[in-house]
Amino acid sequence: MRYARMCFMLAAALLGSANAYAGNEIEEMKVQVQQLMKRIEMLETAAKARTETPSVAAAEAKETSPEIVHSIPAKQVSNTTHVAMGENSGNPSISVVGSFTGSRIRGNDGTRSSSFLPLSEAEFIFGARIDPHARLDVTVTAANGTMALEEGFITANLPWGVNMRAGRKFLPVGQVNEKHPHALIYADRPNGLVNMFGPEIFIGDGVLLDRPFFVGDSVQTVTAGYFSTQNDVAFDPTGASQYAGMARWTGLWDLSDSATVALGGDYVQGKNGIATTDAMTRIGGGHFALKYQDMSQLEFTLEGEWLRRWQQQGIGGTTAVNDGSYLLATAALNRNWQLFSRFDYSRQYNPATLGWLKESAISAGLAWKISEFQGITLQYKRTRSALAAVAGDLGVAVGSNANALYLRWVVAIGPHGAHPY
Amino acid sequence: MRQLKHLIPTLLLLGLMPAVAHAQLHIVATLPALGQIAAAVAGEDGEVRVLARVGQDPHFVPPKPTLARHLADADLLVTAGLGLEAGWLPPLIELSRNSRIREGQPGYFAGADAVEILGIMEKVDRSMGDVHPEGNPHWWMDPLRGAAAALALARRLAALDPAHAQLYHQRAEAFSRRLQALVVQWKPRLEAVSPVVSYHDSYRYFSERFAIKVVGFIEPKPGVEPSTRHLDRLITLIGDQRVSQLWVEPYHLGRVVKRVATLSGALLVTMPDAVEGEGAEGYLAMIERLLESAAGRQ
Amino acid sequence: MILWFSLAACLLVSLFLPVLGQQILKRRVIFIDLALAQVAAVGYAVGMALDGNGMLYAAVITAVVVVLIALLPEQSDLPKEAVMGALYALAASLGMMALAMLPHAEGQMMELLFGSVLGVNESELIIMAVAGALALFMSKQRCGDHFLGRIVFYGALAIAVVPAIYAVGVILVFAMLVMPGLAVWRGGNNGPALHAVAVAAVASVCGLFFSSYFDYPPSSAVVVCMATTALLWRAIRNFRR
Repeated sequence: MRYARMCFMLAAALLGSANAYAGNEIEEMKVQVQQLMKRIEMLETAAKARTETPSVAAAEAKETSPEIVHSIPAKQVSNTTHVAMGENSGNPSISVVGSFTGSRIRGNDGTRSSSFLPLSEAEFIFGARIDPHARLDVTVTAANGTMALEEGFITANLPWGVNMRAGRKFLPVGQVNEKHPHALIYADRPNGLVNMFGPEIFIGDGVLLDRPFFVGDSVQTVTAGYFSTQNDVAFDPTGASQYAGMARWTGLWDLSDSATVALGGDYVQGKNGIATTDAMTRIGGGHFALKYQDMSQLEFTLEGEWLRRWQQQGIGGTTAVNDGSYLLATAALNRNWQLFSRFDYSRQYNPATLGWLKESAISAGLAWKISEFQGITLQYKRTRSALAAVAGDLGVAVGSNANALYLRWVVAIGPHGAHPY
Repeated sequence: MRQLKHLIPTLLLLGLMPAVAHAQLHIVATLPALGQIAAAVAGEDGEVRVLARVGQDPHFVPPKPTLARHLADADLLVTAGLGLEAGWLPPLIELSRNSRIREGQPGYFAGADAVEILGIMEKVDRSMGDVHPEGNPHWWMDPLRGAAAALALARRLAALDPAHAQLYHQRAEAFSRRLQALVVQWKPRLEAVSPVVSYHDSYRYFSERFAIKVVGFIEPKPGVEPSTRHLDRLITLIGDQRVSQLWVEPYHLGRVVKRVATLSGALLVTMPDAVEGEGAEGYLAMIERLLESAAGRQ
Repeated sequence: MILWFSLAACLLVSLFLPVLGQQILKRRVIFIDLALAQVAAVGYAVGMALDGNGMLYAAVITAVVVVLIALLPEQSDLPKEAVMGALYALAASLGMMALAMLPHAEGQMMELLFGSVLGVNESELIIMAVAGALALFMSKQRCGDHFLGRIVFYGALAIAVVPAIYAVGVILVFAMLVMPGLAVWRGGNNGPALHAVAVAAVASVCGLFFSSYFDYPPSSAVVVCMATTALLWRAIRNFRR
């Protein structure tokens, strides 16, 4: 049995490498031949154009009826009309996204706060391919009077189908953390995430490797990463850098021509340096998303996520356990209008009473896509018995209820990027 | 003896493993009509897959990541060009990690580079709505531009697969001849056709080829719902110019178009930008369907 | 022509939808109209896909859902908006699953849920008028906090809202239900119904003429006008006090 296994492995290795090597060689030769042929074509057309243009045109015109349009060589047509757009011209694509969010928050402990459409956030997003193998994306965010480089990472295509992203990035934990806030349909950050990571996005400096696998009708992606983070809610409360690793799997299946279902799981682990010990923080969770989008832009989605954090408070100390989750349903009412409803649920384990502190919130809102580059979102959120992080974010006392009304106006200038799925 | 018993399955496995090179070219087309043109030229020497479905708005195909699996092993990507697919194709190409089919590479073919383009705007900015600044991308509705694209596609396929170059050129020539015959046959029949109004500016090339005037659009700025004043004016225009037909793409059929048709008395005609069918037969079926509808036979 | 029909449709719905909307606000079940429209559309699509009578399927399924909703008492522990929101989400996802399995149903649902005030015709106006009148009559009955009373109210809502949504679109109906009621909301209670109707009517007229003059899409213009009118109304009232 062991011998057979060895034989099989050897055969597979040999064949695999032979295939790869031979494939590589043939690929190389193909590319070279194509380049040579292209050169020859160019020289031919150049020569033809210089010497034969009037006679050729006349000869061809005589043979066929005068209405037939000749296909004009690509160079002649596109030279005069081709406008270099966006990132294919050698310049990065630069877009600026302005997010104006006004809010009105009332807590049942009497606190109130409101803001009326300040420029809460401006994102300057630069992106371009560096060369055929890598690409750079940078996001500079200006908010509350400060400017910070929130994202700056290089995407490189490594061999064996692996993609590498190195630099500073919003970490792909769950479904929401990785996205830019203006791209979300709702105007706030889900309470579950605020309780897990705080009001700021969970950012890491490091390396992420991911590989998509195309298995039948599905796309499976496996991600692994190692990064340092200064998150003071999930890791070190003093805000010192801590190192952590993560692993993630997502799978996307086609249910039909118009519907897909995605499932995923994440795991993050790292030291949190609490009480200057080797205490660990672990985060684990799963998410799902059902999406239906038919030919006329009728669209429904249902998505949800659950994350749990175990944060050791020093070696031999207790472990703080926190849960954060949400369930979101969206429906397109129209080409430009969408309705959404979200339910947030968070819990915190209280070792003193051996019970859980629970917080829930329900939001409902309307999103109006005025055009491809402008949108308004109106959202109402009612939070019950806010936990510490959410209470701090809303400006109310811990354990109180809060009603919040958000109005967000997003405008974008710059090249028209592709729509996300 | 025992070792032999283990050796034989290994050898068998070795023998069953597939050979190195694939026989057929893998061609992926973004839109069904383009896939039919590609299949007409590639014939048995190419396997064609299409990303969008018949009846789907080509500007807004949902970029499901599962579509990227077709792109992963594609040798040639056939697109319409001029930014028609810019709203959904780039992330799929990125996900597929296939560097051969990126724009500018030999595995990327945009039909718009091979045909004469109409509707190029001198000065364009966002205040005009979401328009195509580089030109109208719906070129495949004109049979002769389809033929020109087929000939250019044959040249590209010959470059990628020189062994079958003759066959590609032959098929493209045959395809082109059939389309030219169709145009010659139908042009005189459509001479006296009255002007039409269409929903979106998808029929520019078709109407220019067959000299049919398009005098107005239901949706003046693509992607923006019309106003009551615009529709009332359009209904008056339909009466004044004796417009007989309203041309609508299948994905724009809805209450507004039906209402305009009822109030104006014009005939509502569905003019698809692709029909089900294989290769040359499919593309020709679409052109014939358009011609028969324009002539009022359907 | 289209302008006058759109105006007639908007004025017609502003006669009965704000009044029903005030009842909705009082009972705190804002999402119910959407949930009912969604359920009816799914029923219609399922009926058509199974080669049955779409209307019949829609009516039966909506009636079943109305009865189910009526099982929930007014003064219950559960937050009503949460329940209605969850119901809407559930209806939407079920609709999605149904559509995923029945590909022919796509077109039907699109037609129904994407009503447009630009496409309103005579028969739809008449249906809306009759349905609206019936719904107003039913809602004025003593709908106490018992099972039958609730059925009458939710039934009235279904009768009023579903044809209106198919005629003029979900956005306009939703705005007409909620915004006028919010505009005249007075310290925890509904204001006079007549004021709500006035807000809706004024907004319809202004919105439509604005959209016609400046070449804007009519539904969005009316909704924006309604928001502005509502804000102005409240601002003026606060100022006067």
